[in-house]
Amino acid sequence: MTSNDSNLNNAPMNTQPDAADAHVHANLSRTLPAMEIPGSVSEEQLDRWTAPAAIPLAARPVVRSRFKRLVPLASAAALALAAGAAMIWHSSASTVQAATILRSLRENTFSGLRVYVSNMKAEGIEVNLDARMHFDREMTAVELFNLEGNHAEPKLSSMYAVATVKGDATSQAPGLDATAEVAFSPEADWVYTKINQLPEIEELRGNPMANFVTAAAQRGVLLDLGRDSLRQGNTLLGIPALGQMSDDGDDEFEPGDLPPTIRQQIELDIAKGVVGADGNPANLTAEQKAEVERRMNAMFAGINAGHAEGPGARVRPGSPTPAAGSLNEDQVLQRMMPLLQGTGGGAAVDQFAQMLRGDSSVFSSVTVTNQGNGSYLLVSTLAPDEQNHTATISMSYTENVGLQYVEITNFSGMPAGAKVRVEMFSGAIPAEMFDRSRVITPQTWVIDQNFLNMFR
Amino acid sequence: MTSHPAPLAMNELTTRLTGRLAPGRTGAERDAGSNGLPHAVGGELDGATVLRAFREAAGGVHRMLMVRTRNDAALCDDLMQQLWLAARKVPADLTIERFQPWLRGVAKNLLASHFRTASSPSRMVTADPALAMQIASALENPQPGELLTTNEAREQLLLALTELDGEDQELLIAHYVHGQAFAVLAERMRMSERAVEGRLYRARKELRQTLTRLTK
Repeated sequence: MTSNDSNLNNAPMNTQPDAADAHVHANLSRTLPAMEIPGSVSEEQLDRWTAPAAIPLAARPVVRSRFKRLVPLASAAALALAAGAAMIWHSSASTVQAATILRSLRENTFSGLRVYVSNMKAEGIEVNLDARMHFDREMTAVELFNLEGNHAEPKLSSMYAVATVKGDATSQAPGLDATAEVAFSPEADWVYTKINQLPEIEELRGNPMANFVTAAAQRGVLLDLGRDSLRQGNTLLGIPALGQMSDDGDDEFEPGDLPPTIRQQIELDIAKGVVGADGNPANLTAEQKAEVERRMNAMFAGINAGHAEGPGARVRPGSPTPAAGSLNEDQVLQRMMPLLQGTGGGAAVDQFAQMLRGDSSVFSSVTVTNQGNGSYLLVSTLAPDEQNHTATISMSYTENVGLQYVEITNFSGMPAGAKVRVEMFSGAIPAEMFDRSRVITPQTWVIDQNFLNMFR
Repeated sequence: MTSHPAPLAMNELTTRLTGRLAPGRTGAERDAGSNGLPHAVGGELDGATVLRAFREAAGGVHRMLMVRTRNDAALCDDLMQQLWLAARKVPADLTIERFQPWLRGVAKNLLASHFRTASSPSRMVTADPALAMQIASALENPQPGELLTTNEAREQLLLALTELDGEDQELLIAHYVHGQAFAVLAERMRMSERAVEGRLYRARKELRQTLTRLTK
């Protein structure tokens, strides 16, 4: 019997279709052609869907988002420079003109910040970053800082960032070349990572898990938090979306700041250290539990101590003042307040200009260049600190437009091209930034909640 | 406004309708499975067989997901990747005959899981058993009235159509949507026109029965 013959068996027993079927045939002939029916799938789709296996990503500790810190610090620098520049380039003019510029600065609004980090290098690891943060409303710098005490904190409505990390031969990850993208918006929240080149790390050779993870990362991994995560608080791998990070507003990094699943993983790791790799952490004695808690607290104390000593440490009101003659951040803002609120008059303007010029512990030099068309460029050099670190801060200001950007260059110990630049902008982040199809290829792994549910 | 997909490629349709997953198998062996898929040795499916079966079934399952998500292509793309991951962990006792229904069940579970946590669950198309019954009756009626022209009815009809296994779906679409005649289908499927007619009869019957079985 041939295959064609066998198919005859599929014919109805009664070769004359029943009357009902004839009507079905007629009605389908009329109805189906008018319907929009999804098409066939392509070979490319089939290849993408059946690409080899997934990555059981282990939850890992994440460093608390420094976003809330970054924004005010960057903006503080911008504001201080803008105000200072206004004082300096109009120092020979009347204070009335200076006050006009300050008022315009105070009234200029923006809805987003863009931060570039270029060629920053430390211990052989070079980082490049382009991050855009968009807020839920247009605001002035005064509102962003809530300097008048009556403005609600702006909320992050969307964010896009792309970063590259490269390790040279002197780094702990020689040869590493990796890319990461982060996109948070009401339409799509995702994180994408791809290793373009693996580091040559002896310890990783032959480690099956390391090989598995790095092999996957070489293909590109997209973690999808789902839509509108910023507002809904979706989590993936226990990691909340950016806007939902636990942050109680203080500067201490505490266990409670971590997502529960990650905190539990850390506790488990510490417990294994206490009872030994062969012991069962679930059977801890009271003493062992106390020891786990003590080690946990010690770990966070160490992190906070390191952070407090770092260059980004914030000096809080009431805390000891820095070296004699220098001003901490709060003191600078305090002196700026009368200017930004427009209540200080000419005396406040003169005082602030004097602060920037005269405080040699902050700036070793300040120059202003009139670039024409109402644009000015202020370049100031930070006085060396105790470790002899210095940098150059440039600020561009355009009359009737406002602050254009603030740029920090010439970092001590950094490559010549190292740069941090902060721009203020209005309008939304371009929609194409959030289109994840840009990064998805047939090889890319897309991991989302549904995927993870299969392992639960 | 109707946009029709491109007609199926000849070899694709042929492969799907004849169910030749394992080249070189005899007609008798192919007939062993009710849907034309080969039995896996010992009732267990090896990786290569699962891959072939998945690719065979993918078109029909993807269409089912597209209909149920109102053509959310990005979501369906994700779900199909997840579905393949699930397919790789196929139960040990699953036979090839049960693979496609099992895959469809997993796909529906993934979809339901997605919409349980999604911000817009209303976008999911669900079955309306009462309406589906009316449509089944209307299809058998020489004068079905306006029911079959409503969007709601067409949505339910699509749900039922995409509930059919891949072969029946493809055949109904090729004939009724793309207007491919028996002779064309017979040539592509390498079978007689009468056999094609028989398969179409079975597919229509299955569609009617599916409409009466649609449940939420």
